[in-house]
Amino acid sequence: MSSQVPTFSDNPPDFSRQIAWLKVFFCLILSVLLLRLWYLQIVSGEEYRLKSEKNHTSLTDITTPRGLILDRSGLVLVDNQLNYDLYVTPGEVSKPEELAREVSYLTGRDAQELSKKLETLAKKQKYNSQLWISGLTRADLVGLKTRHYQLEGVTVQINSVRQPTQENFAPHLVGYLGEISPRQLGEEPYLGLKQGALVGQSGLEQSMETILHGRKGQRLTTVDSQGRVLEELKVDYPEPGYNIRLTLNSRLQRVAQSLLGEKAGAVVVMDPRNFEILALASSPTFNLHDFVGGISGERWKSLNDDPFRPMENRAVGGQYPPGSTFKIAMALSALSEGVITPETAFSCAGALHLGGSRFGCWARGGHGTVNLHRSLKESCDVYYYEVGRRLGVDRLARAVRKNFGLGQTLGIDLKTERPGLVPDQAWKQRRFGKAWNFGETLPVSIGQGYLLTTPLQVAQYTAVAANGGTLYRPHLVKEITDFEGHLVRRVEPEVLNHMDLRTDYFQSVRRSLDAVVNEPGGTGRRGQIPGVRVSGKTGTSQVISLDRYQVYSRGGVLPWKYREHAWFTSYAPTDNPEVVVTVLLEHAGGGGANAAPIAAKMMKAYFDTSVDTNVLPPYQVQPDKPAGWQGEL
Amino acid sequence: MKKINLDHRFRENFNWPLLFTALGLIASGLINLYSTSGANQAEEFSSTPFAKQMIFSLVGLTGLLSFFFFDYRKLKSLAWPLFGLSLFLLIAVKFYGITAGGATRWLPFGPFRFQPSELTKLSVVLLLSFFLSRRHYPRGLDFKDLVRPLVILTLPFVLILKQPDMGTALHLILTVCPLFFFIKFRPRVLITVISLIAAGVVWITCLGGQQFLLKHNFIKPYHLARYRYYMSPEESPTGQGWQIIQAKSAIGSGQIFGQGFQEGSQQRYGFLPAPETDFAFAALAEEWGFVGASFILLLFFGLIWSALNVVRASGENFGAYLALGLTSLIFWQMTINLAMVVGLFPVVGIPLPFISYGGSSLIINLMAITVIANIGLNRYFFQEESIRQNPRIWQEGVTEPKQGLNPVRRLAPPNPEEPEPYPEHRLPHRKPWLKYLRNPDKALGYQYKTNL
Repeated sequence: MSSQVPTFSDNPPDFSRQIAWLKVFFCLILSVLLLRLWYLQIVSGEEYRLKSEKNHTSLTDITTPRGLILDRSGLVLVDNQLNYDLYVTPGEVSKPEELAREVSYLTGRDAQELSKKLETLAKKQKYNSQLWISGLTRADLVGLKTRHYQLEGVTVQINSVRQPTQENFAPHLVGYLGEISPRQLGEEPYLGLKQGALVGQSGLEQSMETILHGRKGQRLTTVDSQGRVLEELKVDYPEPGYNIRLTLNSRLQRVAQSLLGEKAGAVVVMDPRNFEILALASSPTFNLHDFVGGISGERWKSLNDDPFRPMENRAVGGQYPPGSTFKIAMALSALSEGVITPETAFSCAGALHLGGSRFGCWARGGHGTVNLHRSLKESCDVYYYEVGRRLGVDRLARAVRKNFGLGQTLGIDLKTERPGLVPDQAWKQRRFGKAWNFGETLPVSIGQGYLLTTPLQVAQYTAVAANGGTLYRPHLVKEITDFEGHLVRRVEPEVLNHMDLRTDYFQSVRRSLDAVVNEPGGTGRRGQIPGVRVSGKTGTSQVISLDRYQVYSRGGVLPWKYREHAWFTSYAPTDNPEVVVTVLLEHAGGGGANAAPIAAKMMKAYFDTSVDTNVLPPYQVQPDKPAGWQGEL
Repeated sequence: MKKINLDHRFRENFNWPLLFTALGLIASGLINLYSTSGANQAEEFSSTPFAKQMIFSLVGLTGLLSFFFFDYRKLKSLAWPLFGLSLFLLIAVKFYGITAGGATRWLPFGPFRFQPSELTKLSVVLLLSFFLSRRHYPRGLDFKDLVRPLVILTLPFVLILKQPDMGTALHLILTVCPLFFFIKFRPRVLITVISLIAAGVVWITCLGGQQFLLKHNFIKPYHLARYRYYMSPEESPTGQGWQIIQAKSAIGSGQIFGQGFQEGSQQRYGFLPAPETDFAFAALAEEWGFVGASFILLLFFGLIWSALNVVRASGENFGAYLALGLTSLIFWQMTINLAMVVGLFPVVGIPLPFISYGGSSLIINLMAITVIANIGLNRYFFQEESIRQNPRIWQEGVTEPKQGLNPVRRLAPPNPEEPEPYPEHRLPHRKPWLKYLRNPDKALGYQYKTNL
C-alpha cells in the first residue's frame, strides 16, 4: 500500500504554518534555557564560583602544644599530658562488626557501643580519620599495637591534654581550660579561633592566653566530595606556645595552702625588694583535675552555688576592710603629708566625740597619751581618728592611692584582680548622690567604713613600709621562654612610685611595727618566730556596725558571717626585709590571735627550707565547710 | 587518483547543517568526556568512557553513511514488527530484566545492557507516523481517529511506567505530542484534550491523584521527593538536593569563559553527580563557561532548525511525520536534560543527546539524524525509478509557484541536451560567494558540458 503513495506529487502537503509554530515554540524554549544560563553564569556566577571554591578546599588547623607553666625554680606545674586516642577511617573498614568486636576485646569496651559509634562516624565523614576511643591505657596500646596488622583503617594518635602535675596546687592561680564562649569568639586575644576551641578560662591560663597558646598552623588542602584529602596546597606550620616561669615558690605555696587548711581566707607571700609573688593562696579551693577534659555540669553548679565561693581567688579578688593593718598606710601618709611627726602625741580617752557622735577605741578604757610608736604598737584607734581628721578624706585617698596603689588594680597577671575601694568626696557624690559626711572620714582612717582592700594590697603597703617607700608592680611571671628554653622576655621589677618621706620617719614607723611583734604590750606577739626578727601589724576588721555586736554579745553566739575578719601583715627580717607575709582569715575573730600564728608559721617556712607540706595538714577543697561553720549563715 | 565527486543533486539537497551540527555536538561531547572521564590520567586508555564513546561514534557515523543510500519508505514495512518486538522486549524486561536502583529497565545482552524503552520510543514514532500517514485528515483528527493511536501509545507507556521509568514514559508522551498537533485536531477534540489535561493537573495537585497513583504503583514516593527537592533543594543539601545544588554551582562557577579545559573543580573533585552522563552539560558549562554552553545551545538550535526544515520540505506525509517524530525525540531529550541540569525541572535520568556518554543513546540519535537527512533527500535521490518510467514527468508536473509557499523545487536528472531545464528551481547556493569566481560553473561543480 505504501508504494501507491505518489512520490512526486504536484500538490505536496504544506506544513509551513505548523513548522512556523514549532519553530516559535522551539525558539522560546531555547531562549528560556539561555536566559537561565545567563542568570546562573553571569548574574550570580561569582557567588557560585565562591561556593564551588569552598566546596573543594578545606582548611584544617594544626594544633600545637600549649606552653608549660613552671615555678620559680623551673619545676613544671602544668604539663601537657599525652593522651593516646584511637582514630578510625570508616571508609577503609570492610567489616565494621568484626573490627568493633576485635577492638572491644582488646580494650575491654562494649562492642555494641563501639560499632554504634563507628556507624555514626561513617555517616559523618567516611574517608577521614576520626576519633573513636579517647584515652587508651598502656595495656590497650600493647594489645592494639600487636594486632595492628589485623585492624583495618585504625590508627593511634597522640593528643596533648592539659594536666596539672601536683594535686590541688594553686588552682586559682593556674586556672583551667574551657571551651571558648560565644562572647569570647569575637574578642581580641581569641580572634581566629573556632567554636569548640579550648582556651584558658581562669587564672594564668586565661590572662597569659596569647603567650601560652602559641600560633596554630593551618593546612590548605583540596578534598573530593567524600572528604578525602587529595593534595596539599599550602601549609602554615604552627609555633608552639611559650613557657612561663613564675615567681612562685611552689614549696611556699603548698605551705600557704596547708596553713589555711580548712579556714576561709588568703595568704600572700611577697618579696618587698621587687614585689615578686612567692605564694598566693586562697581558701577554700577547688580541684583542678575536675576541669581536665571538661567539667561536669553538676560539679560546675555545685562550685558556683557554694556559699563559700571556692572559685573566688580571695588573695587578689576578695575585697575586705583592712582594719588596723591600714594604720601602716595611715601613718606613712600622714608623715609624708606633714600632718604629724613621730613625736606628735594625742590623748586617747577610749573614744573620740565629734559632732554628737562617739567614735570608740578598741580599748574601752583608752590608752592615755599616745604617740606614733604606741599608736601602732597598741593599735590605738583614737590616734588615727585624729590623724584622719587632720588629713581629710580627699588627701588621705590621694596619698594611699599614689603611694600604695590602693583603689586600683596594679596589673598582677590575673584577671580576677579587683581594685578595692578608697572612698573620697567625689566617690560618695557619684555613688550615693550625697555629700561626704565629715564623720565618715574617721572609720576610714582605721581601715573600716567604706574602705576596701584586697590581701594583695595590704601586702603592698606592708612591702612599701619594709623597702623604704618604693611601690613596684606586683608580678607573678618571672620569665617567658620558648619551647626550647631560650629566653624570650624577662620581667623586670617596675617602679610605680617612690614615696617622698624622710628616712628617719620610715625608721620610726618600722621600729613601731617591730614593737608590735617583739615588745611587751604589742598586739602581734604571736607573730614571733625563733631566730629571725619579724615586724608586723595586726588587724581585726568588723563586718557589721558596733551596735549589732552589742545585740549579739547579749544574745549569745555571733553568726559566722557577722564575725570579724582576722588580718596579720608582717615582714622579716626587720632590719633588712626580704619577705612580706599577709594573712587574711575570713570571719575568724581577732587578728593577733588567729592570723598572726599562721603568718609566723609561714615566716618560719620561708626561713627554714626543711619545712614542707609533708608535716602539714592537707588543705581545704570544696565542698567541705570552713572552720567555725555551724550550719547557719 | 580518481576525484571523488558527489552527485550534485546530493550535494545541493543534502541537509549539510544537520550533519555538521550533529558532528559538532559529537565532537564537543567527546572533548567534554575526555575531561570528565579523566582519560588523561587513566592507566588503561582503551577502557575509559572516552575511548568507548570514540568507538561508538565511529560505528555510528559509518552506519550513518550507509543509511544515506536507503529508501526510508522501506521502514514502513518494519513499523509493525518493530513495535511488536519492542512490546515483547518490554514484557521480557519484566521477567528477565536487570534491576538497578530499584528499577527494572535493562535486558542483559552479552557484555552490554540493552534498554528496550529506547527502542520503544523509536518504534512508537515509526508506527504512529506510518499509521497516521495512511489517511488524510482534511478536517483534523476526530475522536474515532484517536482511538487506535492512543491504544498504540498506551501499551508501551504503561509498561515503561511500571518499570518504573517516569522519565522515559514522560519523554515518550512528549515525543508523540507534536505529531497530533501537526495533523491538527478538530476543535471539539482540541477542547476536550485541553480540558482533560487541565482536569488531570487539578486531580494530581489538589484532589488526591497523588495518593491514587502512589497506591497503584504508577509513581513512587521518590518521585514526589524529587519534585519536592527540585522545588527547594536547600531542604536536603546532602541528600536529594545535593545533585541540584552541585549542578547549579558547577554551571554558575563557569561564569563567562569557564574554568578551563580539565580545570572544572566541581567535576574534578567529584562534587558534580554523573558528570559523564546526565550532568555532562553542567561539567561542560563549568569548564567552558557561558560561551561554551551557548555554543552548544547554538549547535542544538541549528540541528533542530534544519531538521524542522526537512519536515517542511519533505513533501510527503509519512516522511514528514517520521522526520517530525524523530526531531521531537531529540528535541525533548535535549530540553528535559538541559532544564534538569540548570535546575528548571526535577531530576530524571534522560541523557543529553550526542553530549552525554552512552553508546546506545548515541547510536539511536545518530540513526534518527540519518533518517531525517534521508527524508530530506527524498525527492531528489530515490525517484530515479519513476523518472526512468516516465522521463517527461518533470515537464508535466510544472506549475506556477504558489503565493506564500516555497516553490516545490525539483531537479531533472542530468540531461546532456538541456543541463538545467528549470534554472529558477535550482536551490539557493550554499556558497553564494562562488559566483564571483572566474569560472562559477566549474566552481559550483557543474561538470557536464554545455555545448555538444
